Amino acid sequence: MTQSQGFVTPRRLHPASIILGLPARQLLQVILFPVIVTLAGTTPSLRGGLQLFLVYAGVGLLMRTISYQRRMFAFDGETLRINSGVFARQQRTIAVNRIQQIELRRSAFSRAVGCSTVRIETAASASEPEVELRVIAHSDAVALRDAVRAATVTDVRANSPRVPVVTIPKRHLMLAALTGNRLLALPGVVFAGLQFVGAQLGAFVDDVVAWLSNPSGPFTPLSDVLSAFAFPLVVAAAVSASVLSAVLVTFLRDGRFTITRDGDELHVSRGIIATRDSLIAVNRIQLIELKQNWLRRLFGVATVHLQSAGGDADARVLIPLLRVTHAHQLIDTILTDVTSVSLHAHPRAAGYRSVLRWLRYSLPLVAALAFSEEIANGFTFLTPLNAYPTLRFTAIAVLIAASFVMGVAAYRLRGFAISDTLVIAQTGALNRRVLIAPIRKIQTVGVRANLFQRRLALATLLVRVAGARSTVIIHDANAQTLQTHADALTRAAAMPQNV
Amino acid sequence: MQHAPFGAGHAAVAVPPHTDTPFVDREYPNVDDVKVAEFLHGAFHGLSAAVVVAWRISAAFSLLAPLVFISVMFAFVAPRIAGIVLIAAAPVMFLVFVWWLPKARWLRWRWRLGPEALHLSFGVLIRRSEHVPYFRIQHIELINGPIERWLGLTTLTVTTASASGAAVLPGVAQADAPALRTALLHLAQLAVAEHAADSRDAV
Repeated sequence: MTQSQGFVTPRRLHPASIILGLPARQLLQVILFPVIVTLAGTTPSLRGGLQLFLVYAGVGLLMRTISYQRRMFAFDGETLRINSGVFARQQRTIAVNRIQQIELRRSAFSRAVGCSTVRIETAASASEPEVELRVIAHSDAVALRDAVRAATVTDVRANSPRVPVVTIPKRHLMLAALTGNRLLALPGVVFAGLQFVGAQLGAFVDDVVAWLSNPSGPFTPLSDVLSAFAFPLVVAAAVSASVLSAVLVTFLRDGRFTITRDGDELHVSRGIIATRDSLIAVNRIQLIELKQNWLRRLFGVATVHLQSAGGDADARVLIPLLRVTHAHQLIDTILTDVTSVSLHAHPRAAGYRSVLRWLRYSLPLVAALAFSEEIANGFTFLTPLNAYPTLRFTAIAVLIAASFVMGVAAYRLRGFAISDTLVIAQTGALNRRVLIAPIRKIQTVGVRANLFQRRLALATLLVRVAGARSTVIIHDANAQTLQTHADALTRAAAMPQNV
Repeated sequence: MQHAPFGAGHAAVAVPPHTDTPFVDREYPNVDDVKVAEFLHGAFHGLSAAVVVAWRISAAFSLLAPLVFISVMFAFVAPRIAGIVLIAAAPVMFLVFVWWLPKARWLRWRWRLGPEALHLSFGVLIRRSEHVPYFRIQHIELINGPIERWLGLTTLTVTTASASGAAVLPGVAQADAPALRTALLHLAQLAVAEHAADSRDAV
């Protein structure tokens, strides 16, 4: 354990952590508190406020310095120890084989002073990291990470080459930004804008006709034209701003995204200004999620989440965009056999339930259309229906047909597979979601069936792995088949080394 | 046999060497406690009948609050509706939720210490069956609320690394709970011992 020797004696964080390690909330408090107190006083003065700020910041700085003095970390090759606290003292010990994921984060500030933050996740860290060493010298951070790695890796791979697994070209990042959920609302905005312009055009024609019949009156069409142009301009500005921000955010966050594989470990790095560098062992991956919204399905691309047991959603490895074939190859290298597994279709009865579910979604609108003219009057886009009853019936028919098509689509896209090593579930009508969990990671297994499912001999299988929101749900499959699978999966989960 | 609360008196059990025999079919020479041995036998158990009383009390309380609220609200606006709620709806709801449902739930509950996992099977409208492999057990908790203490009951929860919540086994007789916990711990210990040293990490 030569790499860990440098950390055997307890060490402090970087002195810059006194200032840079301050959480943003506390920093805001340092500024806001004197301002509020000063403004609340009977005679607010700038000088008094400044004095208060200096005293407040001074006391804060002193406390931070003492806390910095007390905060020490040490690593002896087996356990990581962190001592902290001024009045209430804490000593935290983490066995190295409990570590799920290590991440180095660097903001623009910390890069400027040559520092980074080390975040270590264990299975117990659900909402915040088990250990967060905010602001330590970057060289120390890398050395600590390598020491922890050297202690966890069982096979000897001195100087083994890193194999690049994923790199994301700029055009894919652009596609990721433009097809992301942030921009999916845009068609709606544009449609509303066009509708408004259309309405204004109608008013313009009416006003022009009115003016032609009475040229001595005021010339009102001009205001129609102005508002017809002002509104699209505002819409265009909003659209371009949101496109620009989506592109900017994506490039800053996911620029230079790479995954390299080094033996059992995946090394994920991303970011242009603020960077993240995570290390996750392949055998720690609990769940892989492949997601495609309808736009990304058209382009044949998907996002992939890799999830370990440690940490919240923020700690997950999110691959912003991959061609679906490439995503399958990647998942295949992490979990073997994925591409060789074919999905089972759900029984026909699941199709009825799927159609019924979608009909249920459209039921309120169908009822509104069918029964009440007042309701139609409440929505401008429905008012024409009152004038043309056939149009209303057509709308109802279209709505029901659309729900039916969506229900059938959701049913046809749905599928599941349980192989010797994996559980896979695919769902979604427009937005596809595939969840893949290795059987050796299964924690508990559940089967449930409600009244309606039981009438159709259907059930739901819940396969749970460790970590937040990590359940693979196989909905509406044959009850007897699922019960057999549940028993087999329980046996596999009880004896994972046999799998 | 008198059981002290929270398992005092149940000695730690030595781990026998690895075999391929399922846990339930084995002999447990080190388990001299009759109750622990009985649980290890793997038979199906129901819940203690007293749990119906506990569920009825909590159902009555949770039904009373909305009923009172609705009655008070309508008493001023429409006294007739309040009357209908109190005279017609309340008895029906009490009959369904306080009288029938707890009893039906109790009748549906089954659990056993299976060959590899704790099996729970329950639910009236939504039927559920849960399997918790012994190898995945992280910790076991015994909880006694005031009503449960009065009725001599304990709720046992088994937590795994899954974030979807613990497996909950209500209505265990207070006298049996420590023995059940000892049996579960024993099985968890066995399951871990049967794994190679480098694959014992259950996450």
